[in-house]
Amino acid sequence: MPNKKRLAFYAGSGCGGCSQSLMLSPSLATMLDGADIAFWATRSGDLTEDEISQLDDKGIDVLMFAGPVDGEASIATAKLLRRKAKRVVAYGACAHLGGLCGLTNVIPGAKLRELAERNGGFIKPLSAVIEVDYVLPGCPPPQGMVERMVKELFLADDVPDVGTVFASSKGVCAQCDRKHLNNPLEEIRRFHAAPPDPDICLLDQGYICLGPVTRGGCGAVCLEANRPCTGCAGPTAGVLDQGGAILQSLASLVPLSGDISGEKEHRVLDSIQDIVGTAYKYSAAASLLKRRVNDGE
Amino acid sequence: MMASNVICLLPHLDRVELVNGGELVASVSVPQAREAFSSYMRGRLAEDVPLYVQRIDAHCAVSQHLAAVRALDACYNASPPKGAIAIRRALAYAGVYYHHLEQLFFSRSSGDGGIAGLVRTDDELAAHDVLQALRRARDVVEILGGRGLTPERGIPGGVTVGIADEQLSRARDIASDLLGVALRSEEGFRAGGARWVEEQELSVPAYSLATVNDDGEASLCDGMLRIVDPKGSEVITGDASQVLPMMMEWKEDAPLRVGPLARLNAASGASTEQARELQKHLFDALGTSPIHRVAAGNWAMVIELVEAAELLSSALAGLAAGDSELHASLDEPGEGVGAIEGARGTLIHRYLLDAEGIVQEAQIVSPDSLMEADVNAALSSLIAESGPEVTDDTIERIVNTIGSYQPAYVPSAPFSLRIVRRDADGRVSQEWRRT
Ligand code: SF4
Ligand code: SF4
Repeated sequence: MPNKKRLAFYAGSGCGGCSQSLMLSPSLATMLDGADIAFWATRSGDLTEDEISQLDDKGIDVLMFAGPVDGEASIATAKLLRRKAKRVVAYGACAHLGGLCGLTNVIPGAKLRELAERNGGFIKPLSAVIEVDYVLPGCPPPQGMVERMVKELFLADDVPDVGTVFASSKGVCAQCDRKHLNNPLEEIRRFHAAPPDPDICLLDQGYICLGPVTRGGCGAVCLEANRPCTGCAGPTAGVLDQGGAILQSLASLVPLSGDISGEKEHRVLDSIQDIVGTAYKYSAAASLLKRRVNDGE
Repeated sequence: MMASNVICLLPHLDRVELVNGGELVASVSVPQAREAFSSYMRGRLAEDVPLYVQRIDAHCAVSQHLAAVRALDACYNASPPKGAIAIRRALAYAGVYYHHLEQLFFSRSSGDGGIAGLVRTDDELAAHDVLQALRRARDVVEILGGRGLTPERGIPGGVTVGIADEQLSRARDIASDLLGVALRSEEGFRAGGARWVEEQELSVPAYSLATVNDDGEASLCDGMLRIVDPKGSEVITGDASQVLPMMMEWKEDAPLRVGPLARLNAASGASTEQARELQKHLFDALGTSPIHRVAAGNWAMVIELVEAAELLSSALAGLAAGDSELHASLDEPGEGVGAIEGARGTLIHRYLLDAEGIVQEAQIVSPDSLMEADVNAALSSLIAESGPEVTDDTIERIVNTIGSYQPAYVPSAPFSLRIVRRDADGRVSQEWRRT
């Protein structure tokens, strides 16, 4: 066992799923045996600014920060916590990408170009306000990923490289054992009217699945339940904009019509309803598109 | 209110206000944010709704998921096939078990320091066993719901897919172990917490709302909604759309209660054999139903842990692997109301969908909002009894009183509490904290 680490958990807001995912880790007891707990705050009310201020700067070895940041007070808390911690983990989709809360940045039913910043209460991923050393993705983080984080961060002798994302570098598709038919995408289907064939790739059946553009490591658990991957683990390595990437993938599956106007691609892609909630379910706050809009492009 | 509160609002209350300075009226206020929720959901795909709502409160995600699914059934006028209903029911029981175990052992704060003080944990029932049981309950939720903390299987008209044979037998094995842990918890509670409950005299006469089965017994999933008055006489029994208007405009002379204690009062008894037997101990100690002693909610919850485990076992025994009839055809979308007897109490969802199945309006009537007046009545009498000074004892009693209702806004273990007293101008004149 390496030297005892001083760790802390802070959930500024959120649904409580992240703290539960950590509590349910089979390695929790081992982790806690080998660590000192600076604090375990499952929501902002558990800890005041004063209490945080009194902690030594860099006195915490690893801080796990869950929940989105969404205004001056939470940004100030995040910055203060950063001062107190040597390493910070963005824990879960809200801290990683803004999460589902990020959809509140978007005007309801908006088109993509309306992904514009509003005044106040604008959800941001943690990395937009402080430096983040590691990411544990997922909403809430799947057990396999939590285990990997616990082992690499708290139980191993060496610390992982800064920038480590405790998930697979491959996409969800790598863990999905559905058959591929390489069908062209002729129309977009919605799975509630008739559930998909559970053995065939959803994209092959015309259902939108974010598997190709989403980091794996969850065991493709949603696909097992015959639901599409909705992208909770965030974009695969090298992909900056998860929603943009899936739209690009979908466009590439539409058979070429030979028509230079791209009319067929447009018809298929335009038929996607709630495009923001579908392509950017967890990542609207981290999307590049709003920056483009704000830059006037 | 910050935008994030739209989806994560409920766990955000940590304040009890003693309003108007010297008047010493305590109150908690539950952020309703009805408009905000509706505007968040507007424009979303109907089939995604069960996925969004379960992140409102991950401690009670199964109940939120299933309430949404049932409301969507109504929106599409769909009657899910028996096999789908059976899977949903088993999932509901697994969700109640998970919720109760987590609340009782990890989120509660009562007596001398959490449930550890209420359930005598000895060599027989160590914290390790309970955590292990919690993980295994999560595994059952995953088998039945598709994901461990946030299920995915429910869709309007049924479920997305059936359950594989080996998974089903794994769930059955786990369920019998879960019953063992529940029985030991109840025994441990009677050895420790029962006396504590008997000592807590705070009592608030209230109407009780719960879901009952065809025999009038408490249901931990679906059935008819029933309201009884503080004396236990029936006021109404009906489906969600019949009872909803009354709940929304509560005009009676006493507050409405939901959750384990309300289920104890509104139903003729528990729906399973062992739980019914265990209720006798409670009635012997506290008198016959209806019981209005606030702390009795803890006792009722421990008994429901047993009930949920029994129901889960029999629901799993009745499930057939490989059932392919799991989804009904859907009519044109419209408006629908659906209720589930959630772990924390009756939970009602209402949606209005457009012709494309896109959400236009959304509404959740949560146990927290339903029991707000009840919690406030309890706090007011507690403060009136305690006198003008806020002492450590007062704070402890406030914590225990709120905790006995198991609201969603008290998720942490043990939850922190800030009590503020405001002067006539609304400025905070005194503040007490407990973390
Ligand atoms: S696109 Fe979806 S369904 Fe198809 S292989 Fe990838 S994860 Fe599986
Ligand atoms: S399949 Fe996709 S949405 Fe589901 S847990 Fe994995 S990454 Fe998240």
